Amino acid sequence: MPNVNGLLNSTVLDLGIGLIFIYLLLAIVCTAINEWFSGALGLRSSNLANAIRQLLDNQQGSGSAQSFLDQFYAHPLISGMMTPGNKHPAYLASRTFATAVMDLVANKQGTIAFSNLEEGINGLPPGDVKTALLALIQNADNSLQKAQKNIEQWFDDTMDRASGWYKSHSQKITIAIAVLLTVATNADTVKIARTLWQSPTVRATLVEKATSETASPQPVVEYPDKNAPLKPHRKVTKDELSKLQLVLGWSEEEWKASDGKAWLERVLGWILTIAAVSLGAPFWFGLLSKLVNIRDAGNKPKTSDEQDKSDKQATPKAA
Amino acid sequence: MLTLRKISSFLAVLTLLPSTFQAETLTLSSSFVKQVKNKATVPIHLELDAHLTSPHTIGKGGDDGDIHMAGRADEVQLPMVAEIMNAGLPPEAGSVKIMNQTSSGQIVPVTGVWRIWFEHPSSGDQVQGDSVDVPTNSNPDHVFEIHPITNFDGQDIADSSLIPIAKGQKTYDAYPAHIAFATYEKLKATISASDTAVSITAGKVGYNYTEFVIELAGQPQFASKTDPSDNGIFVLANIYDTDDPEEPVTSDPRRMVFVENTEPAKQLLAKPEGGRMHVLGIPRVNLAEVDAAATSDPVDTLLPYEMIIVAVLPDSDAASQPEPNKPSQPGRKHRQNQ
Repeated sequence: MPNVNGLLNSTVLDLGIGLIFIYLLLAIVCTAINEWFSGALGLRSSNLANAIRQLLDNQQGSGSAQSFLDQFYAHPLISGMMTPGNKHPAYLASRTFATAVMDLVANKQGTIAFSNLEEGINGLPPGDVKTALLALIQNADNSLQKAQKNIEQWFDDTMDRASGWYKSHSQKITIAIAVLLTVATNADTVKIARTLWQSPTVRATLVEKATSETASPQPVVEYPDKNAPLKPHRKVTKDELSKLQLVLGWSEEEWKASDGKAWLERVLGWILTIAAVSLGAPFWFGLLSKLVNIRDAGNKPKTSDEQDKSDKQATPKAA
Repeated sequence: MLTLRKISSFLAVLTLLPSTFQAETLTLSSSFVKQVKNKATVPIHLELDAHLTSPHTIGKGGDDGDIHMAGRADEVQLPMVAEIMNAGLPPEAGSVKIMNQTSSGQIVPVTGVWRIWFEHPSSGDQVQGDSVDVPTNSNPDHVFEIHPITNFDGQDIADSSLIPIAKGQKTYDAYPAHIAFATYEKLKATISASDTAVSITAGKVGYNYTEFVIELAGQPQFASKTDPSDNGIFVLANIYDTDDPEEPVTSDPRRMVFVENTEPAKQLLAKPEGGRMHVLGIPRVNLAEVDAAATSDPVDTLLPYEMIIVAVLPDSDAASQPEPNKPSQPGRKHRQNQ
C-alpha cells in the first residue's frame, strides 16, 4: 500500500520549493533592475550629496563670500573625485572627508597642528559646522589624530543614517519594480501554486533546477552596478529564466475567459507575489536552501564520505 | 641524442602531470570570509618559522625580487607565507635586516594584502582552524599568503615596495596579459557553503606577476566605507593586453584591488571613469564573489578572481585610449623600467 501521507508531504514540499524558486528568481531580477535604476539615476550619488549638504550647509566659509559647502566641493581632494560633467561621486571615504574639512578650516599650507585646527574653527563665522566642529574637538585631548577620528566618526554616523534613507528609498523602488514585474509577467501566486500542484512535470523541472548544480562551469555572480564593486550578485541564467516561462506569462485564454471572480483571484495572487518578491533574494535563497536540505534528507541518506565532509565543513575552528 | 631528449621530455611531462591536475579543497570559516572579502589588507601577528636571508634575483617567473617567509598566525590559522616585494631595494632592506635578526618562533606584527591562490596547494585539503605544522622551509605548501607586505614590524613599506620590480639595471619580465588571463579565465572551481564554512576546490595554477592595461569601468570604492580599519580601494575594470588596445582579454570587467596611499592608488584616484592604466598585478581569489556564489549545494563554476595592483608601469600602446582603425603591434615584449 502506498504511503499516501509521504506522497502528499513530498508534493507539498516540492510545491513549496518550486514556488520559492520562482520568488527567488523574480527577486533577483527585481534586484538587478533596481541596481540598474540606481546606477542610471545616480541615486547613490544624490544620496551622498544630500548627506554632505546636511552636514556642511548653513555655514559661511572663512575669509570668503563662498559657503563652506562650496569651499568643500572646490577642495582638490573632493573636486578630483568628480567625474566628467561634474557628476558627484557615489562614495567618499571618511578619511578624505575629514582631511578636506580640516584642511579648509585650518587654512594653512603644509602640515597642520591641533592648535591650527582649533584656531581655524574659532575663526569661522557662526554656523552649524562651527558648532559641530567645536563639539567634536572638545573630546580630542588636544590631539590632531583624535580630532580627525572624531570628524570621521561624525561623517560615518551621518552616512549610516544616509544609508538608512537610501535603503528606505530603495525599498520603495523595489516594491514599484515588483508591482510592474509581477503584472507584466502575470506572476500570480495562486495560479503558480495551482500549476505546480496539478502538473508533476512542471513541479519536477523546477525542483530539479532548484536543487541541481549547473552542468557546465560558468560565472554565477555579476556586478549589476559597475560603481558597486563590493556588491556582486548571483545572476539569473538564461536557463533559469526559461524555467520562469513554465509558470509565468499571459495567455489569450486568460484575457478572454477572465470574469470578475478570476480577476479578483488574480489580483490576490499578484499581491502575494509582490509581497514575496519585496522580501528580497537573500531571504528566499536561505529558505530554499533549508527546504532543499529537508527534501534531500528525506530522499537519500548521505554516504559516510559525504557525511565526513559535511561534518568537516560544519565545524571549522573560528578564524 | 634526439631520442634521449624525447624520452626526457616525456618523463618530465609524466612527472608534471599529477601536479597539473592536483586539486585541493580549502575550507574557510564563514566569519573569516565575511571579514576579509571586501578588504585589501589584514594585520596579523606572524610567528616567523623559516625565511630566506636574501631576496630572489630579478628576471622572470619566480625570479621576482621578492623575499619569502613562512610562519603561522592566529588570525589566519592556515599554512601560509608572507612576501616582501622589491625586497632588494634600500627601504625594504631595513625590513629584511629585521627579519634576518628575528629568531625562529618570534612573533612579528605584519600587515599586507591577503591573498588566496592555488599556486602551492598541498596534497591534502586545508581547513582553517586545523592545527598548522611548523614550516621547515620558506615556501611550504600553502594557498594563503600575505603578499605584498605593506607594514613589517611597524615599518610602513607600502609606498616604497609597490613599484615596478627592478634593482639597478635589472628589470622584471612579467607574464603578458593574453597568456596569463587566458589561464585565469578558464580556472574551474567547486564552491559550497555550510552555516559556518565556505569551501573552494580548485586546481594548481601559476602566473603570479602579470602585466596588463586596465580601463576603469566604474568608480573606485573605498573599503573604509564598510570597514574603517581597511585601506583598500576596489574598482571594476576592463582588461587589455599591452599590445592590443581594442580587444579586452576578459569577457567582463574584473575587480581590481588597490592599497591606499601607494603610487597605484594615487594614480587610480586621478583617473576618470574610462581612464586607462598600465599596471603590474597579481591574482587572488575573489572572496566577495565566492561568498555570493556559495550555496549549500556545491556549485561548479569558474574560479572567481580579482587582481591586486602592485605597480604602475610606463604607458604602453593600450594604456592610451584606442584610436579607430589603429593597427595592433603583435609580439612586442614589454619590460619595466625603473
